[in-house]
Amino acid sequence: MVNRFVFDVNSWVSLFYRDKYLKLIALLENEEIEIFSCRENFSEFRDIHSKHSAIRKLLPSGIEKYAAAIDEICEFYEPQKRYSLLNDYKDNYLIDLAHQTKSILVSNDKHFDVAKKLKRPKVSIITVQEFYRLMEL
Amino acid sequence: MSLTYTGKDTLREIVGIVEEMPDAVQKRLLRHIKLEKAKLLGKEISKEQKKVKAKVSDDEIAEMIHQYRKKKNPKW
Repeated sequence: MVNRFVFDVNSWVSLFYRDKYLKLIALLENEEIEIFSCRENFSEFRDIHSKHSAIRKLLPSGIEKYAAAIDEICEFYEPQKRYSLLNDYKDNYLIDLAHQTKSILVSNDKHFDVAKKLKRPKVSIITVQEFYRLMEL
Repeated sequence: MSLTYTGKDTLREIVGIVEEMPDAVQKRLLRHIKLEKAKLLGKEISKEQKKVKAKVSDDEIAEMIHQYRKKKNPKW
């Protein structure tokens, strides 16, 4: 069975920073995983890379390169329904995206701890380290 | 393949062949091409990443981004 994942921005940063992107492509080529993203996820990554100097130090290539790298490997899906689960309605897009694409959300943001306890929508959330262990990256 | 092909002729020939293929095959080919492009990008990115000296944990990365989100939207 193909494992489906949604990566929070912190997970994208970790993947590039830890130089695991090429290994991720190998998993995609072997059809072991599928990765879902949406406009909000994509633009948040761009926004953080362009405005956060500490993140830019970790990811020194130009934003266009990272953006294209994400674009080429993701299936884009725009979430339809909004669950109002977290404190900030706007930022539930990752929960919506993971729920609607039946994916596991990969995030180290502790803000999602509350979502782990919810029965509806049931979304599996793992840390990026757990993802590396699971996929042997 | 044409004996007088240039880069553009090659592309035209590829497009001609692909156009005749069923949708499912076209989609599979597109995915394959995209992953090839991703590999080229990945190699370029990897080369630059090797120069990065900073050492941070994944939790620190998440915290940096969390603080940025919070600053942008205090409710988060």
